[in-house]
Amino acid sequence: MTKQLPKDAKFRMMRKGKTGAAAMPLSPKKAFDAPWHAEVFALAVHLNEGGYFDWPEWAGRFGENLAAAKTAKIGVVEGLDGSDDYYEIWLQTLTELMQEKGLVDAKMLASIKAQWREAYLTTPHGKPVHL
Amino acid sequence: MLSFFMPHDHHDEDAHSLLPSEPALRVKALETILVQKGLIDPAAVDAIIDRYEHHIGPQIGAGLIARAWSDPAFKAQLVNNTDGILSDLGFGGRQGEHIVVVENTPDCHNLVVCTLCSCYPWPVLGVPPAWYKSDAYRSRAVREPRQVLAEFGVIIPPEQKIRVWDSTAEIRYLVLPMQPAQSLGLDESELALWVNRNAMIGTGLPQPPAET
Repeated sequence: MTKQLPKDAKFRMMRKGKTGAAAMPLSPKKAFDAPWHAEVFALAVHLNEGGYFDWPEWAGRFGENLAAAKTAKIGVVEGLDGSDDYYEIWLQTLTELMQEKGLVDAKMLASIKAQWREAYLTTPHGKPVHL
Repeated sequence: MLSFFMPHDHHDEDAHSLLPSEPALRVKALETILVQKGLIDPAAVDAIIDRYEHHIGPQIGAGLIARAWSDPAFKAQLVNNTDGILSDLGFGGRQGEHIVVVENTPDCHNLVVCTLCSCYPWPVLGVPPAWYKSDAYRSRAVREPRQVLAEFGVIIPPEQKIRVWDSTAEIRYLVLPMQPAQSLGLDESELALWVNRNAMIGTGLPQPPAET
């Protein structure tokens, strides 16, 4: 039979593993922590369903990018926490794949992003923001 | 804005719309271009978000586990013909993945991880929690599963081995936990309340509903 620790002991030990590795963050109640996480997640799923890449291709590249980010971050922070940083790499991966397939180009991305920034900065608070 | 601010307080962000974060702007830019090029349908993107925010989640897996506990014939199908039965029930994988059900026994506790990225049985559990995607879990689950489980409050006795399943883009795992003795005799809908998400990843055990 397995036994459970008392309720209050749960997660208490999660701050640090015995190897000194990073603690595991607690889970959010919602599926996505931020709207843009949901958006970029759904973009990849939709593009996959549209046949622009298959899931092994996605997972392979995403895994490489996660590993590279982890390596780059060693010594700075205790690894990726699985929220903002995770979806930033998701976005990076999707952008790379779209660029490599010639579907999106970097200059246009930068230009449209600047237009969105400008639109937010010039639209009165409370009004819908459009390009 | 906090309610104790004086009426005359004024902040810059009141003047214009709040500027989204840098990655949020990059997502908007990417989406705008994809829509302009006709590569995506914005309504379909919204439908995917709605699906994962409101419709697909651990309650689907919990229903399957509860039914497996109640119905040995269904359990045999769920374990032996997982893709077939999930497809029949409308929970088939949309990314071409296969789902494998791994059953806990007194001799073996199963634990699921994705060391590569974050492969997860979306159709039956929804999107994974942040900890599942963290470097800490992804590296430590394989290296020291007993310790990781202890941190989740799950103490596995020394005689029960732990088997760690590393998910891939093609194969995702769902843990079929052992039914707690206290829940014997309950009907399926009551049993489903005992099955929490972590129990189906292997980082938890079924719990009475009041305690979860």
